[in-house]
Amino acid sequence: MLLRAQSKGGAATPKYEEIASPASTSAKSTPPLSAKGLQRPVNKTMLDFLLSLLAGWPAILVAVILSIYGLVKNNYRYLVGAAILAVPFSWFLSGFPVVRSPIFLTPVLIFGSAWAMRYGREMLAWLLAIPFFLVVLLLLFALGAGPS
Amino acid sequence: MLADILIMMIFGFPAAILSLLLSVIGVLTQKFWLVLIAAVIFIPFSYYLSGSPSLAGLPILLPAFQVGAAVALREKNKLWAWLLLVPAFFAVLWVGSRVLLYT
Repeated sequence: MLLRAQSKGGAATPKYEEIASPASTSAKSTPPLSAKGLQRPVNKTMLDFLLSLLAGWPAILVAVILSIYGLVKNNYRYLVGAAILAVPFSWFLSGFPVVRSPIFLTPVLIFGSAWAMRYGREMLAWLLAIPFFLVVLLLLFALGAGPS
Repeated sequence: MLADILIMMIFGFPAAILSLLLSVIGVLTQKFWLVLIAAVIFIPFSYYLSGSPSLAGLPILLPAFQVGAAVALREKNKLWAWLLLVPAFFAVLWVGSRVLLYT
């Protein structure tokens, strides 16, 4: 009954545009310089920062360094860490959220490399890691070539 | 699209630079098979380079130097291993500098 009364009323239920746009809500309900008004842009900035850390060059560089260190030191734990770090950016590169490219499978190569290193197959570990390095180098060259 | 990416990766600078890096890591860690893998990765780049008319097909011999470096490394001769890696380094630096100068 209450729901029906609110839906009939029209003025009691907020419209979709009022909920979706932060500008309208902040302008109506909260003053522009209040803590609540500032919290949303700060949250967005922090989320963008986390996204750039996990799906950008920092994650790629750390993954490459970890995988090279793990391969040189024969330690599979570093390779597992590199593979976990490689998941976000490879998913991002393959067309988040829908997978459109086999680049999505690059963490599997590093996981396979870690598995091979775990069981003492050092050469197989290097061979599995090479396509991952090639993908990263190609990305670097594509970035260097520019938008043209 | 995927074929283009694969061709760029295998015949282009990514494979050549990765090959050089693998060679250096192989010599530093004294793993001759790593230098052999690097030589195999270097073959497409050198084949592509040997198509240049001014080079008379000579760059196809570049992976042989890397194989020689692997053999030297197997014989525990690091100096010869480094020396035999120099031609591949020189070729990549030369092509890279030409590309950067003319683009």
